[in-house]
Amino acid sequence: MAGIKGPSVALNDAERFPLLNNLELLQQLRQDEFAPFFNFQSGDRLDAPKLEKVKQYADQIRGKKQFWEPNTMPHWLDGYWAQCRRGVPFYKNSPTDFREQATIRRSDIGIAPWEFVSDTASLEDLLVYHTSGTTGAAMNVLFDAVSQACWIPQLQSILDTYQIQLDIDFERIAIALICSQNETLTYASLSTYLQGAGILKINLKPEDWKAPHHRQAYLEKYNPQILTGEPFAFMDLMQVNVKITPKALISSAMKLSEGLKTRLEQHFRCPVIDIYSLTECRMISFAENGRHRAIRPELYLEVFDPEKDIPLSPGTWGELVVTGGTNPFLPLVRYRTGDFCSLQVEYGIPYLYDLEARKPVAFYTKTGKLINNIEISRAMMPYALVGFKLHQNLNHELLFTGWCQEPIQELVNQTLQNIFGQDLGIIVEILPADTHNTYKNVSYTSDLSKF
Amino acid sequence: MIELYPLLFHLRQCPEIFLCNVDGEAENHPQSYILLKDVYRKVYGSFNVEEQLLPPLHSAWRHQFNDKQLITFQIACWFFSHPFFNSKPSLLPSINAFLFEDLVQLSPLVSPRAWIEDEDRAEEFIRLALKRCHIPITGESTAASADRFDALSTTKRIEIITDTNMSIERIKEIRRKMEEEKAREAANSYGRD
Repeated sequence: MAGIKGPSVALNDAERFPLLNNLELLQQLRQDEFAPFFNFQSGDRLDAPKLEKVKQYADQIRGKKQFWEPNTMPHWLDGYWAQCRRGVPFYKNSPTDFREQATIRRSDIGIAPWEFVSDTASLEDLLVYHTSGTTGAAMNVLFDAVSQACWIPQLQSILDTYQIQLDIDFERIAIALICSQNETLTYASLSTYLQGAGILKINLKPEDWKAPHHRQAYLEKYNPQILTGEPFAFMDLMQVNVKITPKALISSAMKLSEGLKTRLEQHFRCPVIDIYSLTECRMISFAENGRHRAIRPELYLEVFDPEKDIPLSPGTWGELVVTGGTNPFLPLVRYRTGDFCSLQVEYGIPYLYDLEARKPVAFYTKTGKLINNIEISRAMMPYALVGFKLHQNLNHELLFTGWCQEPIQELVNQTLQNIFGQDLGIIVEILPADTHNTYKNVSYTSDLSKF
Repeated sequence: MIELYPLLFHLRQCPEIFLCNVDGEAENHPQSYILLKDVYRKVYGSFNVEEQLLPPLHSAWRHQFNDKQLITFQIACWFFSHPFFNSKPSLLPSINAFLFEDLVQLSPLVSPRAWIEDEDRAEEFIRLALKRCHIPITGESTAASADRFDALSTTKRIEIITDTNMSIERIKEIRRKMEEEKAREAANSYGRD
């Protein structure tokens, strides 16, 4: 989207890791003979008070969880709503009764993220994450170091159900995020919460490495405890044929099919856990016995009618709407996720049924090269599209419909040609932005997709 | 209980003399002092009342207030000279609080003439005085009176303007911080971007 700046490198390691004295592992990961060409740097920036907050959150989310009963609201909701009405500009002058509050959408946040910053949030802590928007337009998401670092306790709370523990070892990599994209941010980092254990983000594309076999050598040398990534990346990791022994694979960003899950479990000999997560609020649930189990008592889940602002009764399929979270820069109230499911609270735990979120769609060039739909989302980022849909026919022809105020037809055509080549048909239609009325901002479909 | 409009009419009839002269010609006391004592006696219901039964006004009080505040007091004297307030001694503490707390607080924000010449300020003046004296307005529920007063309140209006200005400053600051390089050294540790 025009006007949004990308990420940049601005700190030194002492600022990235104010509490860590031993940065040896970090240097080793960066300077290793097999290391990839890292193109970014990142640290959790946790000082002592912030680390304490992350630990408190970990105690809460990994302890006994109290959600809410069917047809009731969680005990914290009234207080949270009163606080939002008092201190968050967007919610001021809203109805006193939470039940009368209207839902908000991604576009509300995208247009004016500052309207959601709580008056009590210290702007010294503000961080900006720019998301390409697999299922919506690109936008800036604001957060702080604490809400960012809470993803690890959230992950641990899921691993707890599998009796998997992360070893706290400052000489090992705790978590490696595996990507397989033409272009992505890559970095070596550490976790202060995990007492200096390594965190990696790498891209499997051979161009990111000095030699293709370095991918195996590097991963085998550091043997990460947990791998996170999306289904396409894990498929590529199997192709790389790396001999590592992760404790679990965490699949996110796209829905994981049962077939691929089984193949990955056989290949890596560990549980493969499909999690449902949003950039706006981090992890929500994980797949368990054909449904999704919610993990966060401080995140209230409702299901709404996709078109009307009406909450639906338990068991009715509609759009998932979330309220709560830990981010003072983006306190969510009835936020429409753009994903669909039905909701049931069973024995005190909310479950999401028939979750239709981020279904991976494979596109192909005429020569049979697989194109991940994330690549397409990324390529569309520079354009001020309020939404788009892309469909591929059996004859490889691409049909693109976008909603935008600017005349970008030629640019989109050129972008798709750059990705898919010039030997397939591409039809691009750009409609006025105000005619966009489908409830999905971004939609991918393909007659060729094998998922 | 009293109707609003007769009071509004009365207030807006305030004679010019109440608006221009605070010191008067008396030797020991300024005009405002004399007017206040008179209106206290009227509200008490007797001009022969002993001094100690009226709210105290010590001799040096003139120097605590500026001319603008004294003229505002004189307008209040005219207002409370309305027959409705005659012989209601229980109102004296509230009237005193209205004068020396409410009007003093508002005096930097509202010019004395505005209390008479501006329709909204005149209504605000009356509603504030009646609120202080716990006198309901005929034909209005407590909630309706409170709503109408909030809509007119100068203090509330200033608060909203201050809040709005603060919000604008805060938004500017957030946008500036969003542009800072260090804020943008941020990555999603499990995302794919």
